[in-house]
Amino acid sequence: MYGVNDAADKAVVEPVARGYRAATPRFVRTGVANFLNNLGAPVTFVNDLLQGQVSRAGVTAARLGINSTLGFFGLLDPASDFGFERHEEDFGQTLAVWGLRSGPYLFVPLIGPTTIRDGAGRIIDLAFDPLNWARFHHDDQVRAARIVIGAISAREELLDPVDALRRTSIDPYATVRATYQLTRESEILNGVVDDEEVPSSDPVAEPNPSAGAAAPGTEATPNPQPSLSGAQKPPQNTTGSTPSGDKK
Amino acid sequence: MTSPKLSRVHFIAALLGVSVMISSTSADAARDASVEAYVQTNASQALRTLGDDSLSDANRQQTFNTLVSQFSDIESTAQYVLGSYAPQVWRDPTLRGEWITSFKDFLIATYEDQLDQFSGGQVAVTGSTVLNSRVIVNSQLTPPGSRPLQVQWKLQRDAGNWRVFDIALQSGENVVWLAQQQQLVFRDQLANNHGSIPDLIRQLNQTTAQLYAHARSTHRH
Repeated sequence: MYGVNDAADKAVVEPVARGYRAATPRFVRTGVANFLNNLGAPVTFVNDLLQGQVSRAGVTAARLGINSTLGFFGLLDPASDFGFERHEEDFGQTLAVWGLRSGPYLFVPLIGPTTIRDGAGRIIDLAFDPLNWARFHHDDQVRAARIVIGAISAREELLDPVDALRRTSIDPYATVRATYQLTRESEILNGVVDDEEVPSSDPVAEPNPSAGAAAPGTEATPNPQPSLSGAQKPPQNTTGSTPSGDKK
Repeated sequence: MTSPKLSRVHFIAALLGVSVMISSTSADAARDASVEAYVQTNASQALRTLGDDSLSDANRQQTFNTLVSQFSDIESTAQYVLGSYAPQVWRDPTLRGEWITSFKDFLIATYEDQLDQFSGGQVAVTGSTVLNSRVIVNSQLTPPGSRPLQVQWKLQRDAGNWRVFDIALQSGENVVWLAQQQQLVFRDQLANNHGSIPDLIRQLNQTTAQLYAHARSTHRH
């Protein structure tokens, strides 16, 4: 499935994204991305609240208000200059906070990596998006345009990271999977830095307990890595790195 | 009595008020100025090296290699990325040496590939967070003529000296650490090749060679 998607990406999506980059100045692409991000703010706001993140919901509401007004309908992002940094929440993350495990990893053509939980979350998020239930002239065309432009804009932003991944990875599929897993982990924890144990200087005498229990040389058992399981708590920090407010 | 309408100015002022309240709730984390200075100096030197057009490809690569070797705790990272396979490798001195050499070459080539986009750019360390036994240093790397990107450096002590254990490119508030990512990828590979470290070494060497071929093809020399 990954191979089919990768071939389709190289044949169609990536060239379109490169064309978009070549044909538009950076400030236009930034404006498009800002506008699309602003449209997604209500989804983040609802999920902030569902996760009990009241202060982060306030940040999202402030961003929506400021960028929709001072930011010319979201084309600019003055809210960041005022200290309201952007973050994203989705219902997959909300389900994780509520304790639901991720379920199997999936690679869905044209959508990319996901899990059962995150895929279901995407569907629920559609209901949180005002643009999906608002009725206005040419609403279907507007929604379709948003999907197409959003996909092109997102792929354009990923051009360099995907190029780097293809160059530096010994296995692009495994790297996409690992990156998705770690990114979701970070998103669920709202970017709280982790402080996993320093590996032992003598792993023969004292194997790293965080590295899993599989007997080396035998068929590997998955390590207890960040597993996208639900109800994960931030790793303990000692001095500093204090999560602000009501972070998960 | 009628209440005054909420004008746009009042609305924005209210939002800014929320901002002040929110920002006042966050605590300052402990910092380590000496580690920050260490990263500032070495990261700047690395980017200067990558952007130094007066060096030949071979000289640039050698200089960068030496710098990264001094700046990084490669042996610890090489052990960490093997996860549960580390004891097997560390018990065999020959295999251990082969693995460290191969991983070191791969890591340096990966760092060079990742940092090359910033070559000739600026490094600005913006803070740090002291953890149990490590320090996370936050920095902004600004490529020439482009927007700054957030890069984090995870350092730990190695024989009394701070060394970089891992690097992360930050996107928004989300962070993916390179060594963690490599550990997951290597685990997948070893699960598929019946735990063969020599096969993994061959894969690493092949990718390293491809990275250097790419670097040679894109450099201006």
